[in-house]
Amino acid sequence: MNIPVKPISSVPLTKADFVSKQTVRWCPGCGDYSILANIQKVMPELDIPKENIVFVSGIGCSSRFPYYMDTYGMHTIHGRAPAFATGLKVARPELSVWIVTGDGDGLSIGGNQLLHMLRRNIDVNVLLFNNRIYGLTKGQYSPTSEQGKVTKSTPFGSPDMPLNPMLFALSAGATFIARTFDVDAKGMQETIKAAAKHKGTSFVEIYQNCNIFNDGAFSAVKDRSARDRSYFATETWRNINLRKRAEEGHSFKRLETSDR
Amino acid sequence: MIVNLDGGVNEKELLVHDQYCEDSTLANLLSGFDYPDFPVPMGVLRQVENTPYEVKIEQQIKTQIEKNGVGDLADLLRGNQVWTN
Repeated sequence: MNIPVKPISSVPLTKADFVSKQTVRWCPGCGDYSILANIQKVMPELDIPKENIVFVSGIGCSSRFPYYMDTYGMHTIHGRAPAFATGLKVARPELSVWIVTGDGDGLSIGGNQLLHMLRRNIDVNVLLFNNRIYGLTKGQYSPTSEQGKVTKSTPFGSPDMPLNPMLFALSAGATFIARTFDVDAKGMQETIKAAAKHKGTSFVEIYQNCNIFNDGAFSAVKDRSARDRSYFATETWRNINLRKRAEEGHSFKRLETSDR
Repeated sequence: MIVNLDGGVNEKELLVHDQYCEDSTLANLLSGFDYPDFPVPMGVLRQVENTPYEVKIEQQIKTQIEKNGVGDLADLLRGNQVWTN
């Protein structure tokens, strides 16, 4: 049942329209600040009436996000944002629904919830802030922490292999997967715009630095001096150089794809 | 990423990313890339079309109401139809 809802105001929106009056309570220097600023900046460009936007979260540092957006929002139960978002989207399909979650909330406590939302392809947007640590509970290892991670809950190093969020989403049948990182303003904004336009579940992993409990988790990737070899942007540079790997003795077979 | 085509490597040997490819093999391959063995892919890795759940369920409700009528909750609760038959 598509209920047409007219925007309350026809005046073009700005970033300021999406900034709530709540005091932002993240640690100074947290990567979440940058993500929040970029989401608030890109929202007016989506051309969606503000009263039709809802941010839904579970529990964790990232899940404080809805308080800071001047939109509708729900701060729900640990890992259960996908269930709330699913119900909301089915009942009110005209709404633009955004889930903000973290690596613990989304992939451990709510792993099952996320999986079923992805396979159903509900038209919501998932922003998974991955800092590879439990920050809110003060530094225990998370499902995405690297093997051997020394934390308060793994004093001799974590023996288990980490989960790859992108592979998880793909395995669940995700129709849209993307990755960006907290300080890449342009890349994040473009990724968010693409996610918003997609019809179906858009899954966006955002590398986010927790400067208190896991500082520098992604510095090897984000470091400007290493960027030409540490990461590549799929939209800007499409060709992947496998030459180095070939020189190391790995052989690759060329895969045929459409020429986009 | 800078691609060098010297040293016996030509363009045809390069794997070309296609985010719109229906087959998830390429996206799967890219998703497995991690530093330092491989550069980490940023941006959209996969973007394919499939009808969302809420569209299908909305259509199903519409079709069934047209076929069977709106129904009555009291009749359902007092009826004989249960989960097991």
